[in-house]
Amino acid sequence: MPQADLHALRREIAIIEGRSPVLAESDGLRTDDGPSLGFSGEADSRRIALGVAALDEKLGGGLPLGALHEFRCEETRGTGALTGFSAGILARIVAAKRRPVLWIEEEMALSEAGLPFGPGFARFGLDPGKLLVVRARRPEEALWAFEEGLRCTGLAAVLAVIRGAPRALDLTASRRLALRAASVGVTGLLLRQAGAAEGSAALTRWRVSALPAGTMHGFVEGVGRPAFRAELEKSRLGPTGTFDLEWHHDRGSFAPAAAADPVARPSLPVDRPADAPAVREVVAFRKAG
Amino acid sequence: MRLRFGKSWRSGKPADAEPALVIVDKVKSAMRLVALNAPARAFGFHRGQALAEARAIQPALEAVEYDPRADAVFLGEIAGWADRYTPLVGTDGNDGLLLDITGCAHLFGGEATLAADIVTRLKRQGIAARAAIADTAGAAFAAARFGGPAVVPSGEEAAVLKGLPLLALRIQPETVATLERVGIKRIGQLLGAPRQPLAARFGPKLLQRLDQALGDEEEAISPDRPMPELVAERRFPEPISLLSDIAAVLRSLAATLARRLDERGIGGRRFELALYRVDGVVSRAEVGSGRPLRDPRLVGELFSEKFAMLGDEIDAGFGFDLVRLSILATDDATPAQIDLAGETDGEADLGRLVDRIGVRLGTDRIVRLETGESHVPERSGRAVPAGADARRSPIWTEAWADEPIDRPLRLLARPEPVETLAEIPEGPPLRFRWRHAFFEVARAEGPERIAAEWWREDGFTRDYFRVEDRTGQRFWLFREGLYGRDEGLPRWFLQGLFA
Repeated sequence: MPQADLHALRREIAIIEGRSPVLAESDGLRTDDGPSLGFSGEADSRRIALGVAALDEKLGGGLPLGALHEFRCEETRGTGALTGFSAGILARIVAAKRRPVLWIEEEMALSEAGLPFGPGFARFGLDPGKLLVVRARRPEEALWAFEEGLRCTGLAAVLAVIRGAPRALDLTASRRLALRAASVGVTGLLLRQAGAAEGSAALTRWRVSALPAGTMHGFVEGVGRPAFRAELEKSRLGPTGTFDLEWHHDRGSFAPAAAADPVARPSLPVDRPADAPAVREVVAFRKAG
Repeated sequence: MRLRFGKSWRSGKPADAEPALVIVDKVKSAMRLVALNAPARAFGFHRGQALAEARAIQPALEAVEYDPRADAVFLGEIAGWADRYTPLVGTDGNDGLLLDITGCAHLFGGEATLAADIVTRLKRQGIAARAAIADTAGAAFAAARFGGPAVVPSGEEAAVLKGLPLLALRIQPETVATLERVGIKRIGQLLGAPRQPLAARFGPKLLQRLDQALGDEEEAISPDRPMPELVAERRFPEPISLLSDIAAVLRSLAATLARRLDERGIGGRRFELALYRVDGVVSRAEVGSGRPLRDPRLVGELFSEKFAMLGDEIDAGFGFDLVRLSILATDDATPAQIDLAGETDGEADLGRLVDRIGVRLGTDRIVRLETGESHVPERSGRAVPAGADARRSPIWTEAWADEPIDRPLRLLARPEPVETLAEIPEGPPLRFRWRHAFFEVARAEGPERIAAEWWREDGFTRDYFRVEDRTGQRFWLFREGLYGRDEGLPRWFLQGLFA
């Protein structure tokens, strides 16, 4: 089949699947006889590089902007790491876009893990003045504000923290959000506090957990740079993987977590965790009723 | 037959069926009548009479205890309704309303028609009222309450007041009693009297009230509701009730106001939509905007958010016969210059978003983070409504490149007590329990001592530790109080979650 035809077909499939054709071209499906548009290290205005080559390469040059990304943590107490990883991504988006962020907290999530703390964000490297914090009473309100935010051209990104799996957040709702994010180009980050791996229309889904902090100045007893384990569980861009990252607030960038860690690390599963079919079935059954 | 069975319940007119009713209150250590309806008056009862006495005459007399608060609420509702005639409505005592209808009467077909309209509409709502119109508030008060004409002609105040009792002057009953003792019973007797001795004997208040009633002295009425800066309204002979109709009316009213705002170079910051139901109930909805607004479409959008939130709270009943849009606050609005990059467009878009969220969820639910004036963590950051004007741009402390991040990203609503199971004095805990879960401390940094402000008596010194557990989760713990110095202490709390 001629190369041009193959191109056209790929584009068509990408459009049907709701992906932008550009993403389709860089998602690794490309055969070796075409010109590679994959990760080349140069700046792309539609993506935000996270500063870790291995990770950015998997994403095809960085996390795509104008799309919906989902982040979840298994337990409520993991909200710190969840907030940290997404705040790092936000800091990079804000630095590139120079626009504010709408940060939505649902009341349930908020009462469990507290409100964003300005002085903490300032030290983390995300200007608190760029945050507009919304306190929604119910998940429905949070999703409404999320969608409104994604329509607003004056924003760099919208982030919402939702606890658990509320009825309002079903596949249809996440599809709406994903389409909305693509329409104006505002990036949507959906944080699921104590959320299970459910089906969603997000472009990527990450499971975030905490890692022992990196050491600063060889002070091994101290608590240094925040570190995370980010598992790219699901990605419409193609490859998935697990990444150990550290946040460098001085550079406003992620870096690979230092390998040599003097503190004995508990053994964590390294491979990609299996989806939780049991949970999904139960959820689907409950929703159908 | 009739005589034997008594009057059929069908045969009487509703007015006949109305039972005698009195309102009673404890006056001079006895329950006395403070108000009575017409059937009760027909029995010969009067104000101030003891309830026991009245019951002796009429054992079945229905008595209700006086509830001044409910009365005030009811009067307030009538005042809210009465602003369909004029925005200047003030309450007068506990049973009257004072309306400044300057420049409004012609809209209702003249003064007499206006007064009649008020009384008729109130009567339809089951409220007996008397109304009088005069050039001065004092004369209107006297005419309405002491049987003057419905409209006191301009300049005829003295003639009308002449025959009325002294109480019509709005003076203290004690003053009235003193005046009556010297034989002055009617206002007319005061009109010709020399002013000097009157002022010397009865104080300046008497003459002031007299002058106010005659129009020799200015008297301003204080309206209950804020005076709107601009108003547009529409009346309907046939009441409207559909939300879509209301929205359409709203848009056209907003368009009318937009032209007037444009002429003055201002925009509205707070808008109020008042819907007057035919049966007298008034529903009001207020929306605010972070920036001065003019565009009718945007005003309409804000109100549709409000309606979406109010949902069933707006009960159209038999429909609304008057819809009014008022602008309560305005601000200078220079036409925004839109540069080629469309940057201003994005900012305006953001402003609209903040407004919409503020209307739908409440203005206190969309906030900006600002610095607080304290070192104590829960007071070191503040949340201010995003719609409010920025006071100043806060200066945040950032972390140096070579120092760790020492403040958490999330602060709990209040510090939560934790049980520390093993601890070294003055050091971080080795294990702690928070929300029924155990955490093994792997590493900790601290203490960072934060003392309470010296002017707070209840404050304890806190020693903060950044603590990491074995799985890598980082928390902000503090020990409250000092060993050996504070009684019953120290106690441990968890206050924040680090990244």
